[in-house]
Amino acid sequence: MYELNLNTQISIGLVCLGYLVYLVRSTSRNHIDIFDLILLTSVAIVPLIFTFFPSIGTLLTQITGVGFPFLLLFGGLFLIIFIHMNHLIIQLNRLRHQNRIMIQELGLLRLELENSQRGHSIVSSDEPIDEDSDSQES
Amino acid sequence: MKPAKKKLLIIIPCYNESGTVREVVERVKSVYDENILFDPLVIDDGSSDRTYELACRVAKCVRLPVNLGIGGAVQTGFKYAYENSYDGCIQIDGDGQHEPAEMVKLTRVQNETGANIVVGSRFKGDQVCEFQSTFMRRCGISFISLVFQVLYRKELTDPTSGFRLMDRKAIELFARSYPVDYPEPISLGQALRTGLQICEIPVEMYERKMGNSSIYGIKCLFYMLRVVSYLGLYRFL
Repeated sequence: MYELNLNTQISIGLVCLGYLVYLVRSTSRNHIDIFDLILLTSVAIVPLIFTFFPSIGTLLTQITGVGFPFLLLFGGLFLIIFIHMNHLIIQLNRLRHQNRIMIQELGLLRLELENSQRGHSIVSSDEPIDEDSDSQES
Repeated sequence: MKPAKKKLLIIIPCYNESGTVREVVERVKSVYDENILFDPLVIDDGSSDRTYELACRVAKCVRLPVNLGIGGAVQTGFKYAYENSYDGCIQIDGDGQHEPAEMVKLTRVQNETGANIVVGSRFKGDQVCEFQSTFMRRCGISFISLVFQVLYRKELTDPTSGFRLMDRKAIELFARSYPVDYPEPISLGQALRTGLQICEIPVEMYERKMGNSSIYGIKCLFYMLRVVSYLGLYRFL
């Protein structure tokens, strides 16, 4: 079983606890979503487990067949971050799609509004071109 | 009784095309076919110049508050066409690259073949058009054509062409889903996947009168990767 000295345990513990407090406060202020909180807290909880309960880390390495407990720790962290990233990418794409639809709808609504104000809907190609345009442009 | 005129929406996507948009719209409006009503709609894709102001004077114009890119702009036109029950639409660039008079040819071929999408090609036929693009770009287009040939058994000489006619079925498909970036070849793959018929005809094209292509340098590589990946995905999944 691996051992960490007290100074290392205190440092890791303080960093992780500080991060947990920050996450909880951010969630309470609606800066991050509750699902993100769950994923991100595990980034702090996993090192805490490995730091303060080395026996659990050793047991997990034996079960998984991984050579070193810290390899398992970083593997676990990578997996959590990967899941989080995957979730974010899906969310980002959905938002991008929704954003695009809203911008398009906004443009179309504006046209419709302008058309209804002008009192016409579809301009026919048979209609004469507005002759005032030259003078307006110049 | 004379049959009702077919109503076609002419989608003209523009981004900072103040120098050409008016001329393009006026040329579109001057095209006449006794059976078809060509109705131009300019989509101003968040231009920072006077494109919207100038386009508004000669045609209907949708102003997108931010730049969505060519895919988003053209899809806005499809949505408009779909919601306003147009029989079809023609996409034509706002930079003056395409010859509006060729629209009649596109509609005629569509009537004859019944194809859902008619693409205007620079490279098809014996009489090759004057504007041929750069060597590197032609290589890229040939490669994409090869991908279509291998994956879809479809011969397309100019799959990147932005001069296309689409019928109601294609409008419905693209109003629902249309690629964001580099949409022309990818949307053809999408259309072929859903069983739409595509045909190609030779058309005249010119060099763009103003502005530069958005695809240059390393972007060409991303373009190819994106297009080929999507075409592969659409074919096999």
